[in-house]
Amino acid sequence: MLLLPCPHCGPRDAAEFGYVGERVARPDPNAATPQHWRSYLYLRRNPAGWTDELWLHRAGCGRYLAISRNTVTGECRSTPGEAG
Amino acid sequence: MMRLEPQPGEVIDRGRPLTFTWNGRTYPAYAGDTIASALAAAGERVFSRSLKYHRPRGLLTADAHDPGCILQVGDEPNVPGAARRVSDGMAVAAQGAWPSLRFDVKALNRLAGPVLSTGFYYKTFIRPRRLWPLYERVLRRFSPGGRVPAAPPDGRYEHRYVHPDVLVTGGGPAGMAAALAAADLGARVLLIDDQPELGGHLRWGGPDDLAALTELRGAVAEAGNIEVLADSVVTGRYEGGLVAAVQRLHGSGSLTERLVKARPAQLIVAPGLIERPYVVAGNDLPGVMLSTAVRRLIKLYAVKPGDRAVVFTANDDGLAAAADLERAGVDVRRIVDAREGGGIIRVRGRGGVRAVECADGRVVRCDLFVTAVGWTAPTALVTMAGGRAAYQAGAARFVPAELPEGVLVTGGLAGDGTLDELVAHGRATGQDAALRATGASGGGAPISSLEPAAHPQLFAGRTDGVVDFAEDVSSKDLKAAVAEGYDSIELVKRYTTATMGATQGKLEAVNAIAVVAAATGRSIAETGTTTARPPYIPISLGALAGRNYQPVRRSPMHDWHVEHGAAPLVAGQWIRPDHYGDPAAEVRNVRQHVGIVDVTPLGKFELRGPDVPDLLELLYVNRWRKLAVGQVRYGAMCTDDGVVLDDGVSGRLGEQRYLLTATSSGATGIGEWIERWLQTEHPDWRVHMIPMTDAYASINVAGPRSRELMERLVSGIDMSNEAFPYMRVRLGTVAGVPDCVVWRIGFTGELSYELHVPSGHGLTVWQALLSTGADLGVRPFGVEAQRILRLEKGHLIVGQDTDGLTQGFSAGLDWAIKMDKDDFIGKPELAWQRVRDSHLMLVGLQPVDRRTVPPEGCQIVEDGGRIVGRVTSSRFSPTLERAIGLGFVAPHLSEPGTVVTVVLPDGGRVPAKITPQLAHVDPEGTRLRV
Amino acid sequence: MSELTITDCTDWTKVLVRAAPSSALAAALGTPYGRATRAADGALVVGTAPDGWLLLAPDAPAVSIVQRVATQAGPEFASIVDVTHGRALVRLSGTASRGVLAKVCAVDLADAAAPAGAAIRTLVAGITAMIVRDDEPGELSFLIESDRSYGEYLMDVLLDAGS
Repeated sequence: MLLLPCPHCGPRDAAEFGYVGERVARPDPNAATPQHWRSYLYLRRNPAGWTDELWLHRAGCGRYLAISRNTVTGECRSTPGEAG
Repeated sequence: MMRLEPQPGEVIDRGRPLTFTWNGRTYPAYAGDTIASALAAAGERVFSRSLKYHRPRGLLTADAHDPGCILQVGDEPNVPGAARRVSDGMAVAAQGAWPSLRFDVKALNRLAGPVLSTGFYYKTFIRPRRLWPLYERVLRRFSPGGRVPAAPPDGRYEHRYVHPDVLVTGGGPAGMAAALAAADLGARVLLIDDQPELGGHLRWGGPDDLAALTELRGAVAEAGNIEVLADSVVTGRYEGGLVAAVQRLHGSGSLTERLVKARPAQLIVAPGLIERPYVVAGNDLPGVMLSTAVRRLIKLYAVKPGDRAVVFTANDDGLAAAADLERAGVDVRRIVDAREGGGIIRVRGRGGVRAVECADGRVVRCDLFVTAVGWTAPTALVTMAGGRAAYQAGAARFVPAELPEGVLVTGGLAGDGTLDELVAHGRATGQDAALRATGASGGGAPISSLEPAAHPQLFAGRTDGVVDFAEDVSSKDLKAAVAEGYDSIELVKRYTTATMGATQGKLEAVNAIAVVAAATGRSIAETGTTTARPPYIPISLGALAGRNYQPVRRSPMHDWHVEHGAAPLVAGQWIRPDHYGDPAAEVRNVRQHVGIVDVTPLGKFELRGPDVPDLLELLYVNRWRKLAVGQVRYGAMCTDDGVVLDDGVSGRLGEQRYLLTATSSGATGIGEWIERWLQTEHPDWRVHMIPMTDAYASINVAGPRSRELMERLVSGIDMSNEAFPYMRVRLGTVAGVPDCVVWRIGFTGELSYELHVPSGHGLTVWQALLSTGADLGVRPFGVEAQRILRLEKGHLIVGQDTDGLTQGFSAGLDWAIKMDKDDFIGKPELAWQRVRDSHLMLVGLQPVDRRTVPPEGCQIVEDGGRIVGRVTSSRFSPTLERAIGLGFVAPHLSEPGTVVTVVLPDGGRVPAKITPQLAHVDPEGTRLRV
Repeated sequence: MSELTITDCTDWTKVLVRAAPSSALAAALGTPYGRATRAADGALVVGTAPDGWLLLAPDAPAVSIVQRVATQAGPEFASIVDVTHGRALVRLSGTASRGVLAKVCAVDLADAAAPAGAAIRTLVAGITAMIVRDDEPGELSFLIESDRSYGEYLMDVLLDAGS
């Protein structure tokens, strides 16, 4: 099981977390074209390597956390101050 | 009798004789005996039949990996009989040999050779397809598995989390030394060994070995911070350094097995070496054993493995085994030393070894053939952890080539050496691990080198023999696979099933690689090895499940529901009252008198702060900014793809205090959803969300007489229709309980009030409602009646009448969606959905035949079969005494009065009429507002 | 010193506080996330989130705690909510308590990782719970707090694990 580095709680089992997904910025809803909006909704990079993700530490501090994860090696790093 | 005089290091306790049964007959044993050692002591030599050819099999390794000794113990199948200790009265039986071990009709398969040739699973049983059921039945009979008990086994399993700094797997001399050295430096150490007692190969060594063993064991026992798990096996290493081990507790205490989970800072892998069998004709006959097997039998269990032996060796361990055999009184007829050019052509015999045919032409009669042809280093844990194994030709074995972070190796896995060298290496490794684990200094301690000793590469003879004993795959099968074009070791593995049995390559992988290498003309290094995956040993489902705790949520009125005969409804983790016997009567009582329903699982969130209106405007598709204190409003939420997420009513309790409710099933998710928008998009907003689902017991009081009932119990609130109209909220005291939230809403379509009562007083208020309103006809109703009532009223349930594709305008939320708001979640997609104007519509449905209730999920079709919609909810309405429903239809069918065709599960078709609105009962809403 | 006792403390008063970590109230409470300290009035102040606290008191009325904290908060934005009815609270004491928790909780509760006053929010037998190391005189002791609706389940699990 993945061990995720929580900046508030320290390393914890992934079972304590909820996976939100790759971090994608929400476009301006009043200016976005359908193409732009749908790439926000559906298109993900899904790289082999480092990817920036959002996780919820559901059974811990309750914070949404920015975590960089290497999909090849399984390494995880917290990206402090970037939960947005 | 093959039992020897007492041996110096024997693990049996002759003072504690036991008896057990083997295939119905009673046998003696001593405490400490394995099933196999006790049977061998009684002269038994055959323990199973092989998987495909049903050849008789005896002891090969005499340890947990022994493929020929997998047995049924009582109700427990697939027990490694050469590892499981005998307990008094144990009932042991052979598996997969029918009708008996001695006379196995399935052994006739040997005559049906071609049927069971290489890849037989893929070739033989494919055509004709109609015969597959027959094949399946026959194959079942031939499978080697044991008997699964019909009733749940009474074993007890649990999990345990441990937190060692250093975990040492393998309790031989190097492992013990590593544990001691790490503990000396203050590390918390967990030492795991697969045997019931520590010691590894020292246990079957000479007097010096036994003396060293006593000393090391004593030191481990005295060390304060070493925990020893004996009879335990590390089954795998996973992401994040998670190590899982199975601890076997059969016969000790109430537990059967325990799954131990650890994330040690450092893992020291010290499993020792596994001896390899030799591939030659007849190598699976009972009486063919490894040198370590005969030494275990003699030294640990005082069992004489045979009477006349031939020893084939390529190392000094074979010579030591020959010496042990002679000391045990076995007539060692010949020692064939491969280092001196000796070789073996085949082992002869039927049902057991009768003679060995040597390369020089001599045939030696014997009943025991012992081989010592080399060692396999179990690199599985190292490679599972991300390390690499590389073949070292000079030592004739794969060795760890790259160690991942946090993993160290010692003992035989690292290399060979004298006892002193092994202990020194273990000690240095333990120190290194402790220093790394505790961060005591920058680097670890230096570790002396331990090199694998030179060893001849000796894997297979000139004749074909068994390579994988568990899967019954011979070198001939492997060569046939190569001849058919399967030249990669990974493909050969999958095609022949070699290394895919219970031994998982521990005994046979290197021999298989060697045979494939020779057949393809490549080197062993070029051929490479297969991937090791967890679990390292077979593991019971019970151990994986543990105590299997399933979280359950109960409302404060739960026990009352149970006592009053409520049928339980499991809804997520909640247990809810589905009904109290007759849901239709419960519906009628609400429509005619008054009913109360426990809706505690309803999601409740208190929102506080000056920016709450901004949050509500964002979350909901409708407008909230003008909600006054004391008002409640229905709201619907969408996700950013415009799909309906949740709905509920929310109210303003104070200037900066709101109570938001969400559906019961959505409660947890909506709390997280709100936090996500607050934390990631609007951290500047001053809003606190406080989950209150569990803080309030929630009761809906519904029916024409609900006001009368409430007036009797409420103080501090004017309940009149003028003072407390529909869609308003009041705070007050109910049945003497202060701080209750009361809002007037109408999910059921009747005049109704929803009470949110501090949980600790939930039962008090519930009972007060029932006793106070007895003369008004108050009765409890359950979830089923509530669902009928809401369907009669045409209220949708998110997740029932919507799915993951239902956008806001499809759900009939046109009236609520306010496109002129600056922003709300889902706004762009809803704007585009409205422009497209071609979506399915949620409509009310009434089957023309009043009695036919089409089950939920039935398709709506036109033109004979094209699907144009579906039924999302349907019930028989006790109020209208007819079938009613909600469903989706294509826009051209959504006009009221249209008759659509519903397909029933049996294929029958019934007409149903689209109703003018979703509500079937009181569409004008007059009953709500009285 | 007993080996294992379990006590239902659900009737304790519980007050939830939310305020920015940089606020004056956070400074006044003086308990960072992951720690628990005793306030002057005897209430146990538990840091349950980077911007959240739970005040636990065996017998003080919630109103008095709410008022006291509200005074401390001053004009800054803070929420102080009586959640007495929303939470279950169990005390597990004795030498065996750590071993019982090790069967249902993946977090290290040894002295080095969880000294007296440690407060750990994590999974206990599959539910989110707060474990507070709150030793009693001469005795290892943990308070375990969860959603109230899980209370009976939590009690059942601990009794089973400790049987």
